Amino acid sequence: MKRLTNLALLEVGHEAVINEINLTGAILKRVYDLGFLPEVKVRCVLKAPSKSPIAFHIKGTTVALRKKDAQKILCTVSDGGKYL
Amino acid sequence: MKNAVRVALVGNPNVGKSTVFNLLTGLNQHTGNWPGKTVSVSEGKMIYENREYIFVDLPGTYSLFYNSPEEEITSQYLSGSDSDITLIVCDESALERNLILALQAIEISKKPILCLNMADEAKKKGVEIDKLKLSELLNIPVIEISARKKSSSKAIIKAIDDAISKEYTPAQTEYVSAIKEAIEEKEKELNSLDKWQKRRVALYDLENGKGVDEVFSRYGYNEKMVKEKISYSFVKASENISQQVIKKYKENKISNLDKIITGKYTSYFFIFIILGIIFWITIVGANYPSMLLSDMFVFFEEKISKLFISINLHPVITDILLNGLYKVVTWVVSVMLPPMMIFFPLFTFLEDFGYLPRLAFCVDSSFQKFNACGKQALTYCMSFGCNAAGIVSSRIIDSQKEKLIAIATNNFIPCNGRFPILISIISIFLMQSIKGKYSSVVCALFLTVFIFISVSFAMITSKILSLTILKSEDTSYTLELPDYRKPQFGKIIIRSVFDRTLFVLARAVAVAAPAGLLIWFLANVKYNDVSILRHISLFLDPVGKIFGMDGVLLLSFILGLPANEIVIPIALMCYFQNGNLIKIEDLNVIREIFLLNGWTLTTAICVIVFTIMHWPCSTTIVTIYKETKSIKWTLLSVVTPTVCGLALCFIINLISKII
Repeated sequence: MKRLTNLALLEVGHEAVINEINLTGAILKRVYDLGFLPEVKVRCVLKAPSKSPIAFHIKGTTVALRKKDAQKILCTVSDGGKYL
Repeated sequence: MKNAVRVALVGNPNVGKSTVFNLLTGLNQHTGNWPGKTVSVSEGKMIYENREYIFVDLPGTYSLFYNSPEEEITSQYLSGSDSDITLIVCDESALERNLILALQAIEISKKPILCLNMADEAKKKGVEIDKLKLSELLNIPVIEISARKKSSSKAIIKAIDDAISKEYTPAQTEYVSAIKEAIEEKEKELNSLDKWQKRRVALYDLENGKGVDEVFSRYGYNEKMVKEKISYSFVKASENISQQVIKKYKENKISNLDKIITGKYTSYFFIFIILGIIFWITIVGANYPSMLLSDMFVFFEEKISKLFISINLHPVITDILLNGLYKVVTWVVSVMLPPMMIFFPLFTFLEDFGYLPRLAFCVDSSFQKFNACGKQALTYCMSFGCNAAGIVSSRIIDSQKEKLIAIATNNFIPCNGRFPILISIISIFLMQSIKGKYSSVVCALFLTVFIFISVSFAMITSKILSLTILKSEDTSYTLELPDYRKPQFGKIIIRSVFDRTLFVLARAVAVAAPAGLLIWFLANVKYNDVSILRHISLFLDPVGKIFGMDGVLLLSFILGLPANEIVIPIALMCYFQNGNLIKIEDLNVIREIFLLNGWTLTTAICVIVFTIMHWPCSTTIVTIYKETKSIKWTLLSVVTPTVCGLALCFIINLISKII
């Protein structure tokens, strides 16, 4: 079962596919440069104490985004299935 | 001699580009600022088989068409006539992401070469790339190296020689139709430029909203979509190519070390332990070399003194040269050099290993509460070693506003030069009843409290600045966590010595020398039988007293501009009404002198507070100007801690009068 969520709500170890990026300005450009785009697979790998920033594996790299930015990246995730 | 070849190095951050650059140029390099800008570019040379190769290490960047000065300069350099070859350095384990920048660089470079670095690590991770296919698809040379191995330089030089001697046309990126048409339209208008310049300007204009309205209204695009589609084109192209050439992919595992380091309860523990150990080693470890250097300088002083006598040099000139110039300069060197030579390598070790991004990762949310960012913590850590080095390290902060906040609040962090002042005054005044084996622990605790106060002030000031003078602006904070790497010890030592230690020391000595002469002059030239120094300190006395100190102390801080290390020696010299700086090791003697001159507990506390919060030392001020190229921000960085320090001292003095 697939459900719509955002990258900030992704649990550590879970994988998701990006749907929509609702950011603007400089941060939008920066996440594009890092490879975040619709249809791209990412996996949440680390959360800092206090849940921000959040680190993701994307295209062979590990990149951290602040929670408020990750919240604006919508994605689809499969229920269950921890990929670690 | 064959024709010289100019090679530009580009690549994402963390791909080992600097390692490649250092491999090719060794110590034959220098770093400078791009004219008029605050971007630092390293240039170096290598001569091999009768040919000179000039390498330019451009800043690590994620894209070329942004508005940041780094990206503008990089793209201008690649598309201009300054470089013959573009060496695009990639991390072989992260090819897909690296290709995004690579494709942009290929778009605007005459002769790009793709260099897959860290091949040894990629192999260990099980990554396999079809290099032939990659070369075919991009139509450019592709080489694979491990920059840590010396033999790689031969492979690079060979690839450069091959590329110079043949003609090839790199494959161009397929844009989506709307962008493709818009670029064609734009390029028609840019006839005077050559092919690469045309492409660069066209892409820049489109990125910055100078679109081709006719084309975009036909497709129904707005400005945001234009930017998205340009990026989309490069990202899709990189995905496409990667699918065809990456045969085996890296296993995605998060290291156990990371889980511990960033854990909810363990992260701060780790930070305290690691920083604590570094401070402890630096403070304790520097004592012995400091003494040795001191003794060595005294030894040479005697020799020089004898030499001057033998050539009948006028005693006043001897006094000026030895007690003025030589004494102050050697004092600064013997106290400044040892801590730096310990702290910088330790810090560089942490950097090389990969811990620092994790530190920024853990503290980012705390720093955000003060409108700062996690990377600011790294600049603060560096400042504990030396404030000037902390300023330089602010280059890691992308956003201009956040960078300025880091610079303006940097001087609240006490550097190695100020620790001795803090430690001696704490020992003298705050620990009178505490003796024995726990005394150093108590001293350390007091020091920690004062450091905590200074960091708190730095954070509060960050917030105030962000809400007032440094308002607005877009922040785009992302942090990359590179894999942990085995640090290269030899290279760390060399890099810390040359890049950081000598650079700071040179600047400090440049100011210490004239300052030494000035201090001698003030202390030895008399007016009405009393030295000018004494006149000034008496004059400043009422002012000093307002802030809980006295004229001597205020003057000492002012004359201590070249280096905080000489503040107490100058104060002692004034109290003794002596003509030159005196070295006193015994804290009891120092206490007596202070008490004799009217020191109270209030004085001690105000001196501690003012030590933490006053104007930056001259080296730091020069560095701030070089990093910001702005007198306004330099003044802000000087005034901010001073005003806070004076205000706090005033309040403390007031309170002590009331109690």
